[in-house]
Amino acid sequence: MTLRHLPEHAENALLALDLASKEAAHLQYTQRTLFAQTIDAPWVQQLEAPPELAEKVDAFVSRFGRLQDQIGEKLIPRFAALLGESPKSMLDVLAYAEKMQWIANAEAFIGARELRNLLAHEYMSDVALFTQALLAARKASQMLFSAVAAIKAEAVFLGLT
Amino acid sequence: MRLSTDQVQAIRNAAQRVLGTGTRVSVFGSMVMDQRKGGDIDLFFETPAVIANRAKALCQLFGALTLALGDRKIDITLKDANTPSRHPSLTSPNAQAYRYDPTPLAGAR
Repeated sequence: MTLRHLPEHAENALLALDLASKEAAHLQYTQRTLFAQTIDAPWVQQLEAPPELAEKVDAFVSRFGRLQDQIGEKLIPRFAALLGESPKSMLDVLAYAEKMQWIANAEAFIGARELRNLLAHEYMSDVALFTQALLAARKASQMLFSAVAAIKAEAVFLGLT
Repeated sequence: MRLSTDQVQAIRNAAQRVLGTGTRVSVFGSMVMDQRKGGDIDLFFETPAVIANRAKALCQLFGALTLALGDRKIDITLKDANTPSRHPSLTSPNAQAYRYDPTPLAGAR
């Protein structure tokens, strides 16, 4: 039987998938508990009062960023290597992922990186923008979960899990 | 100004696609100085329209510009009809630099 992948890259790819799955579960948890509340401008305005709420927002932003990095810098490149491809730049990595249908849209995936700046720099200083960024990050989280799920399906297809 | 004609065109296209016609785009900071090397691309977008979701527009601009200009540091300041002139993003050190050396990208209006 002919293998559809390079077995010497399997271990690294599966390690990256395992970590991404764990990070996705952590982000899912924080997202679920954070967005159980109605997030709007008045909610953001009162964020400074109960410190545990601000902490939850910070946890969400940081977990969002970590998963984004894990997918772009480790998960996709390692699964690309597993399939005999070696995209060099971040843009090549994402173009390959789009071609493989692991992500729906490379431009939207890159664009979501700007959310990290907005959620870090605009903290409380622009309530409307911060609220919009938070809601956009919730939507973008689904894009990250879908990428992890698609690559997990690839691993199953390759007979690795 | 150290942006090529193709880069300027790509920035104009992104501005028009995301923010609509009538958007003014200027480059400022080190990219304006011909003798400098490397550095960030600092861009100021100003539209007379009201952008309902500025976070979404900033993400779309960032995604489109990164695809067009490559994976380099791009700093975007966006001012729409509702952005007060004392807004933090317009009074940051980065935006202050804009006051001294803004270079409108030809035909971007």
